[in-house]
Amino acid sequence: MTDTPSGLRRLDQSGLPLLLARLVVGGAFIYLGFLKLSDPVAFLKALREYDMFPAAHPWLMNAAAAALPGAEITCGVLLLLGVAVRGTALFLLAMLLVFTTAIASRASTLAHEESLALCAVAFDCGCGSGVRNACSKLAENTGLILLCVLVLASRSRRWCWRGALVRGRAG
Amino acid sequence: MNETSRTVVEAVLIGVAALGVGLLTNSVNRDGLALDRDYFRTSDAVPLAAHPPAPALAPMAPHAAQPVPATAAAPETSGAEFDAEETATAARLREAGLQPLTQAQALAAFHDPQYAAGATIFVDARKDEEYLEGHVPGAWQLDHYHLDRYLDALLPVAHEALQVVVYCHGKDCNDSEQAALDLTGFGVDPARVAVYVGGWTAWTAAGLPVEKGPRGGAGP
Repeated sequence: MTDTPSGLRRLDQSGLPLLLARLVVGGAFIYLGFLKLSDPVAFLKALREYDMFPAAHPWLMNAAAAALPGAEITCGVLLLLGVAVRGTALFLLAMLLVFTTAIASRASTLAHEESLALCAVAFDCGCGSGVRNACSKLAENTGLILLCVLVLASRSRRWCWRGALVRGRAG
Repeated sequence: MNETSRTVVEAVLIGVAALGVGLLTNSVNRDGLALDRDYFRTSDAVPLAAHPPAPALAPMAPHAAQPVPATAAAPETSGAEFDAEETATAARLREAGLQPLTQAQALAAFHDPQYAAGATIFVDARKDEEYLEGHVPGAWQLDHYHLDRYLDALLPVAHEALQVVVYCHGKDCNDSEQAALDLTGFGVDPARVAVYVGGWTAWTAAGLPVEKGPRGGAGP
């Protein structure tokens, strides 16, 4: 009974799972952020399709479309460098949960409108990668969510430049 | 402060900083968004801010000595002339106070001698790369999302034209609608502004002439 936890702990202490998770999540957000940054108008139009922002305050949607690509790249870079990894992972996790819920809701609406199975729906989710199959995108996001949870749960700080920015009192 | 609290505080700090970097990046991005613009206006929205120069209708040039009323150049179209999807788009355009044009009407406008004379103009509402890849021969450009790049050249011409035909990709896009509203917002007579519903998709599908590169056919 004690072998498994200690085995997991040893694996975590090796720093490899954390490094892999940081590389995958950080790389994904840098890549997708640059895709969005290269065409802010396309991202804005895609955001509009979600109908999440009040029409009376267009600056809200503009600000989200303007800020998110750069924010994703920034967080991706922080993860790759190993700076504030848990805080960054928590922020990305929060964004992923919002994005994924919105994508699932939109895909479900489209499936209903077009009388299709959820996994037959393809649309531009505004994720930077153009028209994507809904289930494939949801699976990808689920993977990223799990990797963020792994970063949050890891006790290791190996290969991190500055693992935490906010420090508690010594001891 | 326990570890969970530290992580939450760190996440908030990182979030604020990252979003700030995002906004900063947007402000230096040539294609960045203007935070204070309503990019998806409807016709009853507040008009656009004044843009210099927005002249009163100038005297018609000699080539337009025989003006054709816009209603004659773009007669009221019946829904039957559009396919099902186009009919919905046409209805939306009419609600916005714009005239929807069928394929036949757009083609007639293109072949009208007034087009060669400049009294009728086409306006491409797609983005730069798409415009350069191919557009209706002689079409001006007005990317609704980057108005400042095009208005100085286009507005004087649009104010003088008897008919302005705006198009984008086709029935699924609304950039032509937004660009048309931009023009009317800057004082172009709405009765002279029409939207070619089929747009670029229908134009190319019909094998109609295409001009590549910048306006004037400098491209291949």
